[in-house]
Amino acid sequence: MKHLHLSQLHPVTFLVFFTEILITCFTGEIAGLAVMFSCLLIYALLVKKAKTVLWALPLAAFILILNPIFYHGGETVLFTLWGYNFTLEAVENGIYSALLILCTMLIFTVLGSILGEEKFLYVFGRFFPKLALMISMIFRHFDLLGKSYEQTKNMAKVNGIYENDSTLWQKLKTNAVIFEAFTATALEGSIDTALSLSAKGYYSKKKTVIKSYRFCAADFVFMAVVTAIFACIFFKNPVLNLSATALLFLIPIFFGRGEKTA
Amino acid sequence: MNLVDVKHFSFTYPNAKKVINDLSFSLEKGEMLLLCGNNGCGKSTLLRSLKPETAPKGVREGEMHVCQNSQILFQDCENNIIFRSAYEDLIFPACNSGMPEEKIKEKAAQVLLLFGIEHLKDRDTSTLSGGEKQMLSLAALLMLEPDLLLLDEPLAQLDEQAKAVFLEKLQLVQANGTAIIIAEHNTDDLLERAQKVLIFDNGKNTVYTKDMLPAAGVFPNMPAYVALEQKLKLPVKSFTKQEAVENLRACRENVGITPLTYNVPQTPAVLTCQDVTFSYGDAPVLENLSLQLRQGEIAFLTGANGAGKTTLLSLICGFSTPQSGNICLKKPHRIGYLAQNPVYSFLKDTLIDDFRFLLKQNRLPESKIEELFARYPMFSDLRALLEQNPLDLSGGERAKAAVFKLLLIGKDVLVLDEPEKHLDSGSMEELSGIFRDLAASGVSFLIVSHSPAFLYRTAHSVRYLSKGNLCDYTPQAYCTTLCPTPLYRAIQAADLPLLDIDEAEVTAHG
Repeated sequence: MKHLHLSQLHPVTFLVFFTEILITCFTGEIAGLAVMFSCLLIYALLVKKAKTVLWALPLAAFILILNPIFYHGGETVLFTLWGYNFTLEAVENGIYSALLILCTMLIFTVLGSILGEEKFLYVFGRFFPKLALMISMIFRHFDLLGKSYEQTKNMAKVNGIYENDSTLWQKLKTNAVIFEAFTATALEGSIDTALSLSAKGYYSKKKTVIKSYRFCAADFVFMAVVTAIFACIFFKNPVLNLSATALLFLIPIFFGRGEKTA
Repeated sequence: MNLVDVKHFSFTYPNAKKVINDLSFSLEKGEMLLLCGNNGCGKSTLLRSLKPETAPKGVREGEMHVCQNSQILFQDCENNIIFRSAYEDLIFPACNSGMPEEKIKEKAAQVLLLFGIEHLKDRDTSTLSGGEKQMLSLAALLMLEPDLLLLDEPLAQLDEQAKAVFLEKLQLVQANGTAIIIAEHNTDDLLERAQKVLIFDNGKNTVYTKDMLPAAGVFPNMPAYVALEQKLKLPVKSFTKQEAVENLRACRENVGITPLTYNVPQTPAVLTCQDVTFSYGDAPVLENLSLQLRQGEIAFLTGANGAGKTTLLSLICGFSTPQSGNICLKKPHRIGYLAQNPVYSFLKDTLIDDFRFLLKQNRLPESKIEELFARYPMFSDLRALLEQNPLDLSGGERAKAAVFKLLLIGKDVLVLDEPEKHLDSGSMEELSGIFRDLAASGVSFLIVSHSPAFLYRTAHSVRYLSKGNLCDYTPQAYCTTLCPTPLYRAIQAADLPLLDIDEAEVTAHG
């Protein structure tokens, strides 16, 4: 039997799946998020160059560290430093936030690249041009972030930007500078893309739609299965909940094998 | 009827920098206006102002009437590309214009064939080279048969073959009645095609028709063959290549010529690539490639768009690993790298902070900045931009700042990906001199470039990358046979040896 790829699905089917994944991510517990993150990372490393997705790790580490420093609530005190309580709950919250951000970024980076701007604009462009433009720019921005990170980091490394960093603090500071720079470059790139879209007549009312996607049997089956799994996530049983989450996030790995994304 | 009518137009940026001052001109069907000026003079600002959707923020004065059906090609090819699929990107403007589906498909097939880019149709745009992106973007714009084309340095990233195709197609659309406004630093092939020239010089912007052009005297980015005629004090009337050939032929007996000599230094190799093989998935890029770079050598790496030049540089810098073969950098030499898009080299919000940060991280004193400004006058205009955000600079200013940064840290093997791109001809000449000086002091260069003019002035040796492997050329052979520009063609047609342009001036007086 011919292997079905996610990119072959109808844009609406994929969009439903994408939305379900995103909702699951935001409603998940810490264990569920850990499972989601593992699945997404495996998928990302299968379809993308590792360098293009690993840029999100410093940000997650930053949040992980920042949370217990600024949040001192919680009952289980791990230790006290300069009169501040460092609590287990704050650490847990940090892990939760870091995982949530990592999952969201990976979803937009790896699944967003399969959905692609053209499919998204196909679904929404005619009815909600501004919203479609904004969301497709978000997809593009995540894509540019990866590219921008790789290029900025490479140039910095060769040109001696890390040479003066002997302590962990100095390394963190330099990485923060790199992070700020590549984010700014990617944002600027997104603005320029929006300008280019506008120059190419995106806001025109009389558009021609050439690409027509056919909603076929595979779409029906896929949508029914993923929606059933998605429904199971909302059952109170934690085992069923976790199993359904794992199953939903394993789908990209199974169907996405051999999927080519840039 | 005029397609463009501009009367007393002025433009001032929010930071109070006035870049266009009381400009008036008109353009009819099939006319070409060539914009000549140094980096940061306002060429891109004017082009963007002529397309309402892309007009920059600032204070506009005067009148500007532009026809509705105009299309713009941005300077940075990354900004012209929107979609991942090359075909989607090609048909996007046509789809937005409401062109019938059948016509879109027919036109797409036509332009792909016309530009010789059918092989790009199914490619992912993120895997295209800069030149390929540029060709794809122009093809997309021409699908709409625009009345007015606004082109911002469209030739900067194209190889010689692509340039020739591009210019041929441009002539075709011009003959079909499309008016063209084009900003370009390399005017060798464009001046003869243009009916009007807008010169930005010393804060003034003046439009000349071709017959008035001799009155303009020496202007920024004039064609290299005209610059040579002026250096030799020959009479320039029509600014044509034919006139240049006749002038050079007439003076052949009277002027002493210093032929250009190229000497590859006979020093030990500092960088060696041996049997390097690399592929993207199933697509081979480099196959058993070998290269040797000597100390103090300036080697140019050339080749068609998409041949794998940038890939080779990334392997040399260690960003990717070859599937087989070795790349060896002799110790204690260290590499400095400039990416094709210099925007990735800036890390701070202002240029001065960026320079200081780079020096601090490399444990070098801040006094290096002043030292470099004093040594190389080419960078003096960066002084006025030190408090600006690097992302707000023009393409040429950014390129200059990126090269300046590389010189600040003083590495001894410099790997540069199109450093001359977006630089005006004066800056390019100066940069060439700087590289020659540094090479004489032992710095080695591996430079990717599509500019034969830059190559001619700078290179000791040329490596032409084709089908995954390198062919060695002397710069003389490369400039006369493989990629002769109008200047070399004029020199050859006048039966002169490939002369040293700088020396020619001296001997002319002698």
